[in-house]
Amino acid sequence: MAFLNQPTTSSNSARTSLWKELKSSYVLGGILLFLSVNLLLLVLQPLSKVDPESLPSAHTWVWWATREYLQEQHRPAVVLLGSSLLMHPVSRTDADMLGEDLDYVHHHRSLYMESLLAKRLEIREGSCFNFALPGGMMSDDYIVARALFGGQRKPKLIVLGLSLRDFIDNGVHCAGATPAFRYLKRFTSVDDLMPLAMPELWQRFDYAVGKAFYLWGKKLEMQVALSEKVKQRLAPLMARFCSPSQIDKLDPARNMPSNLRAEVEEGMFIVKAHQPYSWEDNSREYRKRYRTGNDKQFAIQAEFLEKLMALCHAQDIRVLIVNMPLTQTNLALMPAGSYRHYLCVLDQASRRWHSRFVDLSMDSRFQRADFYDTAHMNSSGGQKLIEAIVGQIAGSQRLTASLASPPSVRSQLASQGHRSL
Amino acid sequence: MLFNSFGYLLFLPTVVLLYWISPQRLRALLLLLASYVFYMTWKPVYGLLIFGLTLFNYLFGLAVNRSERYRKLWLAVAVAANLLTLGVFKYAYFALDVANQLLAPWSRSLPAIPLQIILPLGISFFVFEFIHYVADVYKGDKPVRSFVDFALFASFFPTQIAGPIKRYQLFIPQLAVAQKFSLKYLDEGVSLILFGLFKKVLFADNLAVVVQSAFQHPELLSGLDLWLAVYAFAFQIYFDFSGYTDIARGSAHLLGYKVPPNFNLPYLAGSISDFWHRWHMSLSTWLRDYLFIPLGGSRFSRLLTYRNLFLTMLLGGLWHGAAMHFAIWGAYQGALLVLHKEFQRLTQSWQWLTQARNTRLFHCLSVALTFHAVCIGWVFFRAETAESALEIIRKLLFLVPGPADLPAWSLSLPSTQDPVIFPLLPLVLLVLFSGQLVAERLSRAGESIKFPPAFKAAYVAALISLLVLFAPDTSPRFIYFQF
Repeated sequence: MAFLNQPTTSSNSARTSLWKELKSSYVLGGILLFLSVNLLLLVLQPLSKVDPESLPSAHTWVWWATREYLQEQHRPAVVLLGSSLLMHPVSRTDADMLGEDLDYVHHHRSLYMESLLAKRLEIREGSCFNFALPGGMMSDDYIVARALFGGQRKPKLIVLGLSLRDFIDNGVHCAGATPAFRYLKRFTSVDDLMPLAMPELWQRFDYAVGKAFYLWGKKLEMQVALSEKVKQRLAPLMARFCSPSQIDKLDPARNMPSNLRAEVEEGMFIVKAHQPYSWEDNSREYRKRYRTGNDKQFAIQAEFLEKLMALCHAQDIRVLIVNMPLTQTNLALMPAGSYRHYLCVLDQASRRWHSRFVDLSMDSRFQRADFYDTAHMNSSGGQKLIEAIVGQIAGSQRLTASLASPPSVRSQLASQGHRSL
Repeated sequence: MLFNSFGYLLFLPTVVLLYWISPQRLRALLLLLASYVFYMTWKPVYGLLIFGLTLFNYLFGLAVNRSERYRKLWLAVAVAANLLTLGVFKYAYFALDVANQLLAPWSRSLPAIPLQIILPLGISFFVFEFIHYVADVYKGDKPVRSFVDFALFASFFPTQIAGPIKRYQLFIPQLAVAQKFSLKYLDEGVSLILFGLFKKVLFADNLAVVVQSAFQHPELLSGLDLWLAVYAFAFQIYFDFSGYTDIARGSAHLLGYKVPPNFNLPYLAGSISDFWHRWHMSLSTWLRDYLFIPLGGSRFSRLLTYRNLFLTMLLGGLWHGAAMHFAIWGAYQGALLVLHKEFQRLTQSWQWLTQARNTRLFHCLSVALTFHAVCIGWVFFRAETAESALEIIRKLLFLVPGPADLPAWSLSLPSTQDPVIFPLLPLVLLVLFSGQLVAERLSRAGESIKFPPAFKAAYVAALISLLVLFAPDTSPRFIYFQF
């Protein structure tokens, strides 16, 4: 029996020595301790919800727009969602109308649209907020609506100014990588959007780590909470021993770590009133954006359109989908077949969700002189665009009613099966 | 690939796992491949540069060893080729600038370099390792026979980008030892890596924010504010580089290798000479062995010794970067070393000073004086222009009033609102200074202090928690990567 006992004894002693070694490893002990603390925090959830606005963030276009949107005193009547194709002409029109230079980071209204609504439809209640973002994708429009259009901030009507670029931009890695998505996910849970927004494994890993590790997921909240506490405690000491800092007078972004440094700041992009006409050829840029049909991205963005329509339907927000005018030069750069497919998707979505769709790319009112490059319109184009949009609203009893009447009347109309578009 | 990146977080455990499950004979090859992958993730084409230099030095090492007649010639060719490579990649633009400045009075200029030269990461470190190798083979040490071993010595990923500058006599024998995995490697390696990251992410990156503002706008600060900013930079650069070294050493530990330490509490040095025995030790010993001694060292007259010392530090300064402010910093260090030597010589016969030197008070004063002398040097190192450095130094000497006619000793930097590191700065600096003293006590106690495993586990858990909690989404590059 000795030969049988031998291996058992040796494997036992090996097991004992491994166990001893494992027990003596302080790194493994430390990792276990960290995991236990994390588990405890996950169960206790000791940190109360911190206002997402107070968390540190780079000054991006979406940061400025969100800040202004949350400062709105009243529920907006109309919110314009889209990309720079919508943002530029709307602001340029206002600058010309007011006869003054406007700062893009602060001017988020369409005063011209407000004046037209008041003049033609006598709608004077609520603002027209321009939430169009440079480089904005369809997914960004969705996340803006999901994160911000709740409760008292719910607009009555969304004007969705879209173009094919918003669905296939080859310069955008994935929906979850845009500044708007990265910033606004702090306002709303995006768990259900992960497969669409973050197709890469490492992105999902990072997100999963954030969910599984309390300290990682809550690090921004904790940093802010801690920093505020420390500053409060030190404030009396500072007041007593220090003179006011001159560094504070500098651009605040200067003190930001590189990851929090601004994308855009005040004064960086000023829209001038009555700018003389000039033409910039941006074909090269759009050739890159349209490099391929980007079918995978297109399908994802189309799904975001679907989600936005469903969200608006559920929230009782009316939607007007506008296919933005473009120059022939720009249309010629598009990958074959993509544009037709895109128009089909817009048309189908509008039919499915009983909303209105208008294709302005075929509208003869828009001439080359209304553009300052192949895609962006100047103030004359902006004026025509807003007039066309207001014309569409005026032509739809349902849209007009949504702007004019309180929600109860609208619900009544809906219950009567009012389908007039 | 950066040590503080997500990529390295995946790369290192994969290499460590593959390394320990591979048979001994394949391990060096595996590490060599991993090191090239690590290097080529940045710019694949520069993999060819390091490979070409490796092959060249390997062959010349053998040639120097074999040849009786042409040993000196082969050594000269090898050293010249290494220096030429470094010169082309690192100093071409600088040399052109200096030449054009010199030619300016005659309205002449040299033609611009037609190609854009990008500095290969870590070139200053691996070129120095190559020079050390051929020089030591020339002095009679045995060359490395295995090309794989030699290539791994040159490209070993933990030390490839920013050192420590290794000695092949210490590294190559480790490759021959058949090691068995032990959790000891994991414990030592991971705790070093965590501590290195802690230094980099928590201290260096946060202090960098203060330093950036202060050095960009010295006109908005008083002398006292600038002293705080200079202290902040002293700790930023120390934690940045020693943090890097800890991660490098920890990564090597995980693979069972020992890499020499680079720092030994440099800010507790009692003299400038002592400082250079504690700061970037692998560079200072390299400069001593392959520059100061070949220049003549201290074998000749006092003046020649001082000249050699000064030249060594001047070139050491330029090694850090092709810019005038690095040259000034090197010259300043050289001048300090010469002054220190001269002071020692002059006071040799002063009995009372010899006795005073042994007192605690004298030691404390020496440490404080050395630290402040080093800090003034850091101004040249960090300032963006020589003019800006001079403005800062004038303010540090309280020769200029503070902003808005406030006195030079007024304090405003800590009242900066955001981020929180500004108001916390005096406290953080105090903690860091005291931390040095505690570390010295611990290092003196050495093995006599045994921490219980539970304490060590809590320490590891605390490091992980702090890193997770305070890690920014992106951390700036390590300062020494640019050298």
